[in-house]
Amino acid sequence: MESNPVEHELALEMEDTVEERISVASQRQLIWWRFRKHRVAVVATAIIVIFYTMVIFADFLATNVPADSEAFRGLMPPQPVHIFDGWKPSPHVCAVSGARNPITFQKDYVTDCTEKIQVRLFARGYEYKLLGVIPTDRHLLGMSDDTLRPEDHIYLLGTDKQGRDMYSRLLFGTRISLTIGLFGVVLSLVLGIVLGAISGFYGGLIDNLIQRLVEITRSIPSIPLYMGIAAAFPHDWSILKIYFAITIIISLFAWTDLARVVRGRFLTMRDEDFVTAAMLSGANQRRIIFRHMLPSFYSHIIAAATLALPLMIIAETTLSFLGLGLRPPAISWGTLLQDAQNVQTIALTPWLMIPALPVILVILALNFMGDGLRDAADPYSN
Amino acid sequence: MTDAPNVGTKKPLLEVNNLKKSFPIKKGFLQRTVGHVRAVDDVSFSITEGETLSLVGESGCGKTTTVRAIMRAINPDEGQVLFRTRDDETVDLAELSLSKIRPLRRDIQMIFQDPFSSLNPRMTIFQLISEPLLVNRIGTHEERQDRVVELLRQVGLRPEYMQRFPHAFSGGQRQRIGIARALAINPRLIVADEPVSGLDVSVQAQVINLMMDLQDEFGLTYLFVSHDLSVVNQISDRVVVMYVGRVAEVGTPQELFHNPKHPYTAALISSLPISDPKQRAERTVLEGEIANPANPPSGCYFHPRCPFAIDKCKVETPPLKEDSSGRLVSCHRADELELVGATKPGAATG
Ligand SMILES: Nc1ncnc2c1ncn2[C@@H]1O[C@H](COP(=O)(O)OP(=O)(O)OP(=O)(O)O)[C@@H](O)[C@H]1O
Ligand code: SF4
Ligand SMILES: [Mg+2]
Repeated sequence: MESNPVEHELALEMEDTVEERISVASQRQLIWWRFRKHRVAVVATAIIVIFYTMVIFADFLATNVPADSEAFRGLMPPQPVHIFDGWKPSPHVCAVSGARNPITFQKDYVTDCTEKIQVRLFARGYEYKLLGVIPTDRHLLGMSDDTLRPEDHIYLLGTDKQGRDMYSRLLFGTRISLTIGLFGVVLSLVLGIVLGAISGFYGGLIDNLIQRLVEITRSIPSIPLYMGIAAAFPHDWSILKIYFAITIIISLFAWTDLARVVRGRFLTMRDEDFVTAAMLSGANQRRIIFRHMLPSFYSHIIAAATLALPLMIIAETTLSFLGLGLRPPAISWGTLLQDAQNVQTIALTPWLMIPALPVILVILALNFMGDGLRDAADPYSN
Repeated sequence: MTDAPNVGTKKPLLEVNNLKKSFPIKKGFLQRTVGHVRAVDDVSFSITEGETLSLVGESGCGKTTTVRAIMRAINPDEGQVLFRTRDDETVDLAELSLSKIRPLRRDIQMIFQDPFSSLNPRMTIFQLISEPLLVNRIGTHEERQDRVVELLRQVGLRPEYMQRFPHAFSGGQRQRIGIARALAINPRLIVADEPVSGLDVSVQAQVINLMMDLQDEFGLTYLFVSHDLSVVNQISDRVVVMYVGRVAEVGTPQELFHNPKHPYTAALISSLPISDPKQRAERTVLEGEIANPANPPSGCYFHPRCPFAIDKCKVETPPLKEDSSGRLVSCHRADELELVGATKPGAATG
């Protein structure tokens, strides 16, 4: 009767190193290996990382102060960067000059490529604080100082009606929209996890009350409610205050999904054998919750949060687009797209619609990333 | 079979008296209670130190509920669970508060049925096996490490595997890990709920043998749950046969196999695969469905399926009592019936 364990050991000895690597791999590593196989999700994650890097370094990447308006330069077309001048590498943009059309009273701009404005990396521009602390005036891209004339300008994505640089505004709009979403997700994550955990772990009356609260919250139609609340914002509130108020309102409605996920997980976890085993070996409640239950599904929470983020971003963008969320002079994807609301834009100044591209890209990328995470986190997927 | 220690001369380690547990059946929008599943309906037995007592019965007869109530993974409704502590005091586990139970948990450990779900996939083998020591604050980290090495050797696994995660092991190996975990704090009673029914037949024998070896070595006491009579026959000193939340009969494996006293036991035994073709004619075939514990029959729960049922059986519940030969049976006709066991001499000619 003792020979059998020996047989097992012999079999195990014959394992190769690959198996050895898998044997000592933690659950987190296994999830990461599975996630890596999901190419689209990896690309999507890279896109998200790039966008959040842009959020952090928005000032450094910007070429102009986003609020600077020059009425005589309104609705200027984009100036793409040319890297070569003939065969000679010499990065430049073409100068654009304009005059008012006497018949339509619109400004007509002419791109004149004989007049080149030299651009360079790490050029001097307006002053700002890098990461909010280091004062500097260097920007990733800008006009070279040596050949600069006072009337030269660089608007990579053109300008809006008030002559503000679309490229810089888009960077700052991205910053606001992506951080509002992130704060909103964090806030609703906290609400969702705490309420969902209480609901699922204790059950009974508390569970019943929280579940009714979830149902009530979910049954309130959001747009009319947002309208009501937006109307209630005092008009003299600063941009910052409105920003936070909106974050809180959005997350007050978004926590329910996460609470459901967390509650469901806790309910199934509570009956898992390994949780019973921990309890029967004498572990206290805190250890059972934090060492055994929560770790088994934080990958699911991360996936749920990733999938909640695009909804938050869309919510902010929609609200601001409808004029219910952030209002100018605040810059967000929503307020930027507000300027692209009419037919004229599509026909005459299509560059005003450029902010729609990052919205689509980020939302898609977040969804793919969330799907990838969810598949990787789910042990039953393969 | 293990050499049975002197059963009966020692004081019982665990005594279960009239244990009851029912689950409410909830229906509808308001979750109103519309009835109760009587999962455990008056179960009594006792376990002596060093013996293996088995609970057998068909699926759903309340074996798991019984052991979970004993271990206070769930709270029993009624009855006593008397446990003799290390200080030779007798405590009723059924009425102690959960905080008072916690220090007693180190004396009673459990081996689970499912070797996959009972090990936390995020913990290494070392973390899993040493958890009972850690939460009971026993030893330093190094001492725990030494103990885990020792335990892994005892259950036939290599200590080098300590840093591996459960997913790297087969079902039988995982069950060995589960056994090592149960042994870690030197418990006095080990409750094993169908520890081998999730394993391949060939691996089953290995694990049963390991459990029996460990029992010999450390004088363990087992409460063993199974629905497989042949496994029970191999490991048990005494067997409690359950039917729909109640005890039908108690006896040694020999007694039950060769001389069953309860018609249900006889039916279970005759359903075993047998090699002797002469005996087949005598088999009692279990007819009808197992009774529904939410709506059990009147009188003896077994009467709708019992070939020997009389009118009395439909109205009066037979108590579990000693028959004329001193065996514990709950059947009105225990003394008059001549039931056929597995290899009773002369059974074929009847
Ligand atoms: N938590 C619960 N809620 C409601 N009913 C339950 C619960 N647990 C068990 N039951 C019911 O109690 C009865 C006994 O179940 P139990 O799991 O104890 O049986 P068992 O003998 O262990 O069966 P098996 O051999 O399938 O493991 C069954 O009818 C089951 O449906
Ligand atoms: S009491 Fe009656 S019905 Fe029940 S087992 Fe005995 S003979 Fe059969
Ligand atoms: Mg069971």
